[in-house]
Amino acid sequence: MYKEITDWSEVWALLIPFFFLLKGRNKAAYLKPIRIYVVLALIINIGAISIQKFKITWGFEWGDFFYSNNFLYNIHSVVKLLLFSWFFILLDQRFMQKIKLLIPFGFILFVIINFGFYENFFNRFNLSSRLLATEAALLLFYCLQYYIFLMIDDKGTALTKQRGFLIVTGLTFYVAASFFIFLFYDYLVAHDEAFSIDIWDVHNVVYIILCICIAITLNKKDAG
Amino acid sequence: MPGNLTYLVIMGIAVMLLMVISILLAVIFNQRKKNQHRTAMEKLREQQQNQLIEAAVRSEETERHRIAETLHDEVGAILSSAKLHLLGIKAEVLDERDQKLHEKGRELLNDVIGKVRGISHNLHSNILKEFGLNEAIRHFIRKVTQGSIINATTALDDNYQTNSADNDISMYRMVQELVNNTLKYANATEFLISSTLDGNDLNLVIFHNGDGLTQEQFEELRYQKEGLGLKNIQNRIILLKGTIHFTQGGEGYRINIHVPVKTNQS
Repeated sequence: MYKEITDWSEVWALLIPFFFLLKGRNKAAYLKPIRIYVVLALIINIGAISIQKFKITWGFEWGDFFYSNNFLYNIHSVVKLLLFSWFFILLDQRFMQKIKLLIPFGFILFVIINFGFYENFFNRFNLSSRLLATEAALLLFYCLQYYIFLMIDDKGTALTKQRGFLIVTGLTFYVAASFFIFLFYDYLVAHDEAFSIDIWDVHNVVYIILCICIAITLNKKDAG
Repeated sequence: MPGNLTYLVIMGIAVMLLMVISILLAVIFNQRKKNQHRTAMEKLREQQQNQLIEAAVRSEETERHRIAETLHDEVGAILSSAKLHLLGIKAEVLDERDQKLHEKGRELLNDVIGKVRGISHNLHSNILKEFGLNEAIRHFIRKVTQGSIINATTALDDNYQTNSADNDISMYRMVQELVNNTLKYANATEFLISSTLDGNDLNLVIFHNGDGLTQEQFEELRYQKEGLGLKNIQNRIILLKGTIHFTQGGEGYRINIHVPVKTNQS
């Protein structure tokens, strides 16, 4: 039972912000990418976990395309980076604006080159550590520049009233904890599978924290 | 190698999380420092504003005293001398027409002397200094309502005794301004000034059965050039760190002034 709960955590954790998204209390424009992310991530994760469960637990085979859910994790990674980049741009912090605008384009270029020449997007056996770690590093950069801006900004607005503070904090914990997991995941699966499964639970815990942070923000009454 | 890698991954995650926590703490402390700085700046600005108001109020009071003394000592003395000269004229040798003119001149001179003395006393706060706020208010109310249709009463708490003459002057001036406004604009026939001392809080209430400003109108008018009297009231309220509220109820119109005071007992 515990195993089922942790396995499905990437789905049920997203149901928390999804519930508050449906309540529609916070309709702030800068949260539009987050609202889209919650819906898309929920769909992708339901697909990913379903494939895993049908294949491993119940032994169904859905042909070549659905043999592995790795491609869904790749899609999730690209979607996550693009939507969170949009979110950071919409926060309208007048700091490193050009770099923030260039990152999504650079990332798309990286994805095209990486999967065009070096890796298979539909790899059946391995997650793309390179893609996930790059995505985590770029998101970590976004988070750090957010905090640097808060420190150099003269306004001194209370942190709880800073736009997107809770989401960025949840995301920072998520990407900081996940970076090394993503970076070495392929290697760990190959050499120490038991540990790779255990360490993925750490990823799930920080993902739940991120979802709760998103949920709290979506539940806050829109202050503009 | 896998053992080493396991260790590296765990250490990597731990270091990253520690780094995030450190950054968050740095942001929180930085923000707290900025808030403290902002609060200190606001306090300083408020202090400077209060000093400016105090200086303005004090200079206004000094000027009132100077004018009062000039009126009393110079204008009053000249008028008294003029009266003496006028009285020196032998009225019985004048013809009937000149006698009437002499009598009229004497009356007018007496009027002017009385008025000048009244203005001088009004501007000067002798009674306030010698007998305190309550007596000064009673005296002022008697004087301004004498001969009018207004039925004025005072119910002032005599437990209030203070050594802080400056604060009393400010309260007295506010009462003067508010009462004068009431007499001019309110069309009131019943008028009551009461005060209660509650610990270190003095509550003054001006109540009448006429019309008056709403709180919103006061807030608006006190920033306008025409509302000089209201601006003075507001300045004195800021100086005394007090509050003022205007309310129109079914039973009448009420102005509540609340001022923290230092009494002789405290």
